[in-house]
Amino acid sequence: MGVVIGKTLSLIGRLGRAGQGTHIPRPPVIIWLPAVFIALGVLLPQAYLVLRALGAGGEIWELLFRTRTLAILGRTVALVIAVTAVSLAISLPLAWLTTRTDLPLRRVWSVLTALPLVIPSYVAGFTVVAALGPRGILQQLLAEPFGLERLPEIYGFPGALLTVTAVSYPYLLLALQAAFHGLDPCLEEASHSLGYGSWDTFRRITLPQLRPALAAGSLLVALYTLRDFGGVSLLRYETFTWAIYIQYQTSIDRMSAAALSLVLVALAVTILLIETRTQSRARYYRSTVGVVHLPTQRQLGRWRWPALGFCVSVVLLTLAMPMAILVYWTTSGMSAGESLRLAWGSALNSAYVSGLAAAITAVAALPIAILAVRYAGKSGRLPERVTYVGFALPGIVIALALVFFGANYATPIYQTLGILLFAYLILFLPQAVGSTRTSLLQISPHVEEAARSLGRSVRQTLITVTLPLVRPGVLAGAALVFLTTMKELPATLLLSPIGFKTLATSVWSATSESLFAQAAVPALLLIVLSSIPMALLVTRQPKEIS
Amino acid sequence: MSRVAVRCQNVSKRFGQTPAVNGINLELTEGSFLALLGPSGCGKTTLLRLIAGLETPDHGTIEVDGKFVSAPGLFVPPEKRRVGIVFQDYALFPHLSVADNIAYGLARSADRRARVEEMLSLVGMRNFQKRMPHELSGGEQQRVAIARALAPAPEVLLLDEPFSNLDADLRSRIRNEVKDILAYARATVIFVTHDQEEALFMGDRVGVMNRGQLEQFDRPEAIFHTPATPFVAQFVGTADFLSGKIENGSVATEVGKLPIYDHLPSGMTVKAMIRPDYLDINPAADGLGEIIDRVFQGMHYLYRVRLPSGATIRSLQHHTRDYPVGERVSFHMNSDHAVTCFESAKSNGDGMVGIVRDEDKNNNQ
Repeated sequence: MGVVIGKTLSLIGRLGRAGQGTHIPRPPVIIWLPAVFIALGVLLPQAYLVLRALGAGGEIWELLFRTRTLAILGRTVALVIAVTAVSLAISLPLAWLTTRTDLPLRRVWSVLTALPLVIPSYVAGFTVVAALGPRGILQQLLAEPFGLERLPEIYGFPGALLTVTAVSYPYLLLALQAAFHGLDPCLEEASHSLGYGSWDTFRRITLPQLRPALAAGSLLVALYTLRDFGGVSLLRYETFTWAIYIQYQTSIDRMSAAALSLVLVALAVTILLIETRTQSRARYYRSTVGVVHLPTQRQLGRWRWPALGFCVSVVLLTLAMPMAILVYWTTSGMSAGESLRLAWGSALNSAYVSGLAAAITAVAALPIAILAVRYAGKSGRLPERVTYVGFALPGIVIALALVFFGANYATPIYQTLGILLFAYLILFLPQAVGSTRTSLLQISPHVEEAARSLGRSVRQTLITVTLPLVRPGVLAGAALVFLTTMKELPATLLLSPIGFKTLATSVWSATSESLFAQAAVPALLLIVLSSIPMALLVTRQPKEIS
Repeated sequence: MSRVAVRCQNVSKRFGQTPAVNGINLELTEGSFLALLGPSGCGKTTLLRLIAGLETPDHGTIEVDGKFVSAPGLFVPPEKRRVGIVFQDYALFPHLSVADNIAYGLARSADRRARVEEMLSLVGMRNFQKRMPHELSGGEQQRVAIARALAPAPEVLLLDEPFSNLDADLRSRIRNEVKDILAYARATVIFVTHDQEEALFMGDRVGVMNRGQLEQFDRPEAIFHTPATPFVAQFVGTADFLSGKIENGSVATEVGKLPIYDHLPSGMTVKAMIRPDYLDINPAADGLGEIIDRVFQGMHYLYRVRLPSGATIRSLQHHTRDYPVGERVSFHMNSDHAVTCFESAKSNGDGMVGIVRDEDKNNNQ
């Protein structure tokens, strides 16, 4: 077994970056041992799930090829494509308007359009139901003057599309804004000087250069949609995630849930493979660093009012409406005597478990990131690649794998905080590794070599030079993990110890029963609490760059 | 007889299929200052890193201060070699102040503080000791990096292209300062550069490297006047080559007989190296050459002259000697310069090919 793993390690490593001529030293034990240990831990439950599902033999194929499975597949793919398309239609003009034009209050729109990132999909889903659902706010507003009894059905595809798009389009928007900022304006100026007008220049020069960002951003949105559980469940649109949950909740036979999970995993892996393809191509499109001058601002002229209207409506729909509904239900709930005490208990639980997850994940990310950056090549990048599991696999699948694994092999930690934290570790390790890795890449290896030539051993160099320098990245990673753990729903639902309520599970259970007032308080608290690390992250950034 | 500070014997290192350093032999006595010169990608930085212990050689042995540090089955880690290094990007610890950077390599002891003070004065940075590295200019960072490397009193100090990140005017000033500091510290220094002028100025020994090999290891004057290979001739200074035949201790070329350095057998066909300052040109209606190009350099004109054989040579003339393109000129040897000759087979523009290829490699780094 050990030999097989060792061989695989070196084999996959060779596929990576080895042999490019850079010198790769042998990693010290204090780095590679924990990294390999963590990587194996991350892989174990997933491997178990696959083995279990495949071990079922013929019946698994029957399960997979039922018409119901195909219907779910169709619905899932339809939603993924629709959300990505709508996000593109919103983000491309928004990104251009907020980076390249004289749009009034440009910076304000830039910040406001990124903010929906802090809203979890199930909170967005709750506000959509509360606003547009039967007996929702809109219906009640229209009932008096027009006597309107029913609105068009919001449950199903339209609601899911609205909900998931509202919370996921900022990923694409941010990628595009960054790409616009990175573009060398000289290229566009060269095109103008060669006789091309604005539209032709955009089509022939700007757009091709945005392609990597378009691809990467779209795939982030697609992956978000595929993995989303809360939003689609509350809007009763049966994609894989919800189907898996229902299957798990209702049937004693868990094989169906496992089988559905495998299809979902295959879909996610397909999307990720497309992403890695475009990433490697992206390098060719990277514009030169060190742009000397800023691009000239485009005068919108008479288009500025329609452009402003567009920004206002996006912000209204994705940010102002959800927040207004949360505030409305909170105040009306409180005046109706709704107790806040329950929400405070959940808030403490959320903060406690998220804090622990952030600390554990940030520490676990260190050896993996160091191995991947400083000892890239041979087998150095393998543990990092293994952690991508958390990106590829939806939370519901990881949770399910841990349920199977925990119930059979890890009974002492099953239904304890331990197994929940383990799920968070698997899910969010890529974020922490990514953040630490970025920080490490900014440190010249010469700095560590200088420490060595000044008489310090590998371990001493690690402690006195590498760790202090990488600290901002580690902290940013921890903040990011804290934020996402606060919002996480499916794993929390499946793995929390009995009676352990968090803000996320409170919102979910209250909304499922249409208790809007009860859902609003924890939802608002959740947004406020997770905005704190978000704000820290945003304000810290400029300092880190220097 | 002074001791040997660094000895490399048959040192080789390859990365994948490309040999970076190929059978280098080198011996440096204590207190000497070696400038390793060569085009980018010639392996000079790799040789430096091999000596520092930041790379392991594939073959050969390296000794520092008479002790083997790299040999088959033996590898002394960098922290045990007493070899200091100053990187091209200085690599100061960004989280430590100037004083703490310098103190980093010193053991905790009573005189640690004093040594830091001493180093700060040596590099003239006493007033900067509380500053953080990002608050320093490039030249100041450079001096801190040197002070930090010198503080533990290393056997050998290695400098990797230390001036390449500085502006042109700052560069010549800092260069003088660093030369003084290192002379004062009496360190044995190996210094890597791709700038020939810098190498000739800084080193009391110059090693010219090309494609992983040491082409010549000599005094700066010898490198310039009696290059060992056509590559060295073209890389250090400007050189043109004229075909000729050895006749009784001189070489007969189309511009006349020229004195030579070495005793070569009569009748041998050679390429004679001509530097632009060797030959004067004068307008003459029946002159051998024709001016085909001229470049104004301020104090001088650099003329390119075509000979009957089709070969061209360059001639540097004072700016008062202003001749138009197309003018016919005759040649005069302007001094008693002897010229260096290479066997004809060797000088087939071989050196130029090497330079071009190494520049390409540089772009990929």
